[in-house]
Amino acid sequence: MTDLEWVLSNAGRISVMVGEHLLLSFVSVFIGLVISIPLGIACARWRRLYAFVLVVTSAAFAIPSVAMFILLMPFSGISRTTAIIPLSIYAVAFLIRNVVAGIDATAPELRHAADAIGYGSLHRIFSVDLVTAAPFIWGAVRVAMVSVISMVSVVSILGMPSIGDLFVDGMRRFYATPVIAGIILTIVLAAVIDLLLVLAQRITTPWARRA
Amino acid sequence: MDQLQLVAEWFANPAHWAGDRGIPIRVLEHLNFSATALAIAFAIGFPLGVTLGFFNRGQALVVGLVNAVRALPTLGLLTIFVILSGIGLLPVLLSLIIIAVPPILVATFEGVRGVDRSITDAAQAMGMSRQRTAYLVQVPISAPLIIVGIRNSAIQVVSTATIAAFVGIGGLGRFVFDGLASRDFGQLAGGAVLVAILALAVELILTLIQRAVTPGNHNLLKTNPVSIETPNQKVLIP
Repeated sequence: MTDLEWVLSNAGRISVMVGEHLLLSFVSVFIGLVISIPLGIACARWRRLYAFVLVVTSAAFAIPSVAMFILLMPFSGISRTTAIIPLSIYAVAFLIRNVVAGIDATAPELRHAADAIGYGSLHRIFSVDLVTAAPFIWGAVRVAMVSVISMVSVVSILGMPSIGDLFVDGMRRFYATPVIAGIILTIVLAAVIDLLLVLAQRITTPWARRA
Repeated sequence: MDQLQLVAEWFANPAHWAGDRGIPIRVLEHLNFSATALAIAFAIGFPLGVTLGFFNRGQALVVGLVNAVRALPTLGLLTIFVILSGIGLLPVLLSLIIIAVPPILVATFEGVRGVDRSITDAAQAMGMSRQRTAYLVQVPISAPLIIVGIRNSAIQVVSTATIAAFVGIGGLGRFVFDGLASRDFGQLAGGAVLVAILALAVELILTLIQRAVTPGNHNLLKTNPVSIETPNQKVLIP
């Protein structure tokens, strides 16, 4: 059913797709993170804002990615931007609750202690709140990353490159090899990136392991 | 702007609302296979979740399944099923069911498992059998969370059902892919708008149901998110 020769002879093309796939996933999750952390800090403080943000993100999460890509096409054409905007929105939907939950998990005594030794509120956010929130945020980054990696494929339908090209290719020629290669590649990619994120998490939050 | 005008014109054309390729039929097709997939997924995930949750077993299985399915590319799944079993409704249903089971399973599992021991002990002390305790005590108590699971599942299914058209099946995705093939932006974006509206409507309806079964706090904005576990942290999923 699978034809290893086909995969080997197309290795060059496939590696380009993998590169593009990874680029889209990483940039999207990174942008999602850059948006969610300040937004999450604000949300942890102003609960009304949080309620509003939750409604907006869960509504955005309900809109299918294909629909979002298409609705963006008149503005940004068939380009990376068109792919990255919806994917970043999904990343924010995954991340925001966990940033807020993480900040909420900070024990009040810790905050009082930080206040008592004279931390300003900005200083406290960076050296107390975000530090306790870090394991929560890492967990969400992992889930967001894996989900985004599996979602990216859809951009191929609209003519943007990604591993999804293999699915479109397989469908067009009714040929299973590229499809199976694409599925395996996506899963392996998700697993490897997840593993790397776990390592990064261990290195950056050594205190979390003791808990 | 003219793109907006194209979409408005597409919606305004009465020909697009009539016949067996019209908007109402496509909406029904879309809802039809979404609902079928969801019903089958519920029939698989719910009893399994209740059983595993009641015995508080199989957490590794549930978490592993959820994480594994998260990494599966739906488009690839659908394509491979079509290549294996030919064009038809079956491959579409199969791939939708695969993505629909985990949210229902995990929500039911976490919900049933999370019910306070003293409540289940009381039920059993009053002579309820284990099964009756599970279905008549633990399920109703965790109903709000289970509905959240169904909602998450439904949203995913309705969104993903769009790509059924990629393999030649009907539904709202037809407008998207036909529009894509004929470079007709009005149809393309019209289809996308319809899918988005349908997905939001489904979310709204299920959120209202969830609110109706949640005792006490009737704040629509406060939903209880489903959480899944990664090795060192529970992660809240929208």
